[in-house]
Amino acid sequence: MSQPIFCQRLKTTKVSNEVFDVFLDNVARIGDPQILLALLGGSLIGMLFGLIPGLGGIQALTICLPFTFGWDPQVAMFLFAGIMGSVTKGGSIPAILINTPGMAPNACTCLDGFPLARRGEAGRAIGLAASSCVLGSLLGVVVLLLLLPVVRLLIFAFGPPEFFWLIMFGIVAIAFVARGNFLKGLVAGGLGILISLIGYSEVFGVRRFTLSSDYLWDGINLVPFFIGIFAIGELLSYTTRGGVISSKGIHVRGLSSVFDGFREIFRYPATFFRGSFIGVVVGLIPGIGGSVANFLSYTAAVQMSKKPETFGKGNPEGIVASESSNDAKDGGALLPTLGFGIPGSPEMAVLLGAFMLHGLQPGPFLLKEHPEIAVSLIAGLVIANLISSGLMIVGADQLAKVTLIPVRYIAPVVVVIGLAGAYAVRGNLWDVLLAIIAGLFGYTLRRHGFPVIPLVMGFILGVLAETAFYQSFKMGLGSYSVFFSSPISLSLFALVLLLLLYPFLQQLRRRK
Amino acid sequence: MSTFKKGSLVFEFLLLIFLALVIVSVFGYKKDSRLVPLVVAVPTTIICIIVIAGEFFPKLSQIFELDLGRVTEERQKYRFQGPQEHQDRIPWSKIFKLWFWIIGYFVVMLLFGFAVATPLFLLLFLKLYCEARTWVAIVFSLVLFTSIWVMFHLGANIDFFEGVIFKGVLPPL
Repeated sequence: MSQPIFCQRLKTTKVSNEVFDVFLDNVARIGDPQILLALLGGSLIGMLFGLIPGLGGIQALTICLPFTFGWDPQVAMFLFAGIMGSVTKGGSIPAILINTPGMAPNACTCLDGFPLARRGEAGRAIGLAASSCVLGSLLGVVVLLLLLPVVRLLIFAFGPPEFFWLIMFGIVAIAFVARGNFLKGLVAGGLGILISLIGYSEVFGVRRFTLSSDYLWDGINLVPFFIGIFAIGELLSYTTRGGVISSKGIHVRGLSSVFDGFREIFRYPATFFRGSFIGVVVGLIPGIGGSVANFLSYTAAVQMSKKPETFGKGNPEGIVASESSNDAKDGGALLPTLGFGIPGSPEMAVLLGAFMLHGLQPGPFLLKEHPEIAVSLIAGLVIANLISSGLMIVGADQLAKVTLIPVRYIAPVVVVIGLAGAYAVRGNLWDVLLAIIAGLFGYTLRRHGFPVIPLVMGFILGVLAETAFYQSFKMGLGSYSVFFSSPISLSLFALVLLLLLYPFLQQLRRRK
Repeated sequence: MSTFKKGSLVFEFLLLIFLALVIVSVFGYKKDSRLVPLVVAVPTTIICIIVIAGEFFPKLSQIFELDLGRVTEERQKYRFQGPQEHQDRIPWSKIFKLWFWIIGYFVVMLLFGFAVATPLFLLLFLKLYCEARTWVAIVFSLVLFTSIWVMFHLGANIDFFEGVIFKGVLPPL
């Protein structure tokens, strides 16, 4: 029987208050020197990784993952929030000053940022990018805070069968949105689940796929696997490219022009709100990265403009559209990640790995049992945006010099720190070898069009999916009907089916 | 069929063999513990077979190339080169050359320990692979090694592997 409306309202208000209480408690904790240091460090690391074209948030998070082992999970979350909140800002600096986007989501910033810089208005472009990022991220966080209590209510309806379908939906959805062939994404997701099942199963008390190896008894360790897939694998293609990122650049002269640019955002409210809205919506869709939000927002700005011909020639609105969507996306992407354990963006997939490393189970129960983790990430994201914008305004010129380092010099740094991190978590030398092998495996997958994000998703959620499957099976006394007995299960199953059938539906539509 | 397509086909066949081995080995486990591996491995194998078939019949493959909105079109319009386009052109010899450098670093670490392997790897890699000047290589490797040592050993209290020659104990494999 459904509850009376006033009871539901009362419950919603109670949950909202609880979330805001935890939020205020955590905001008060920010004065803690450990947290401040984590935020500052995260912001700086994020900016540096964002600045170097080819590297980005995923690599920064992966490299930092082992360092946080043994930390208070909340402090670790502030570090991760610092990285996520600052990485796109780092990427916008070379986009404006040297016409090379630090990351794919900054690609559209080049189109108008660099022409502005060439006209001697680099400071204005930097200021505008900084304000678009800060305000965009604030808007994303506000939407997240408004939606969190609703999601928190929804997750009370989740049991093992619903959780199982949710994981399946997450993996299929991420394969669906990955670039290229949908089937290859599904194969990668399946491989990820199978890899996660290697080792001793606590549920069944048996060893599986261990090839009689003692090392594999504990399964494939998350940290070296991630370091291999994301850091070493990416590096293999990145370093072989060689060369110098840039030999010449445009300089920012005078802080006043930067501040003028910072204030200029208020002249383009429509572009800002539209870009931020697109960012939040794209963030809410599982697995879609910032580059999609960036292109959609920029295209919308061009199409809605009365002077579309000015875009690409130094129109400040181009920077606002591009950068506001980039940072608003983070708030949106946190919602499916925290609420359902489905990453809203590729960076969030690594964040789920970080949850596991810190003993936090991703999925609907995270928000219920550890609201402080969600709040740390949200508060961290806001403050990191302020810190990194400050750094961007004051030090863009100096930070841009990082791009003058030949890319080959970056490889040994990432290899040595990455492999030391792979070793550090368990003090096991074979973890280093695992990272190196996973690196080649990840590279080969990418080279042949298999996206690695579904692989990582399957790897993170595989054991959880198996446990949910087994619990549901026992709940249903050996009957599979338990998987289709609740409206939520049925809806999720229908969504999975719809995604799987979508290519055929699309084919039918094309024929018509 | 292009060399790249052939390479993809070989890789997809290897994946198929791996999945087939998983299915065969799963039957050696108890009923409960083989349920999920089978539920995952069987559909994955079937999908892998369709992927392989798609290499021979491009029309089949095209069905699963999803056109999500106009994003792909827009990306092409702005000529943004994603990582995939770049990776296709790198010869495997270059990739393996770099990968064996990393394997070499691991072997030296296994024999002589982290403290010897890391500065040695950095110095040789910078000098021979990156073709850096000798003084740059020396300074860079010393600064980086010292920073990592301070971060991990002094900061996080982690004892790095000493190397089997210096009586470091290897964990069971």
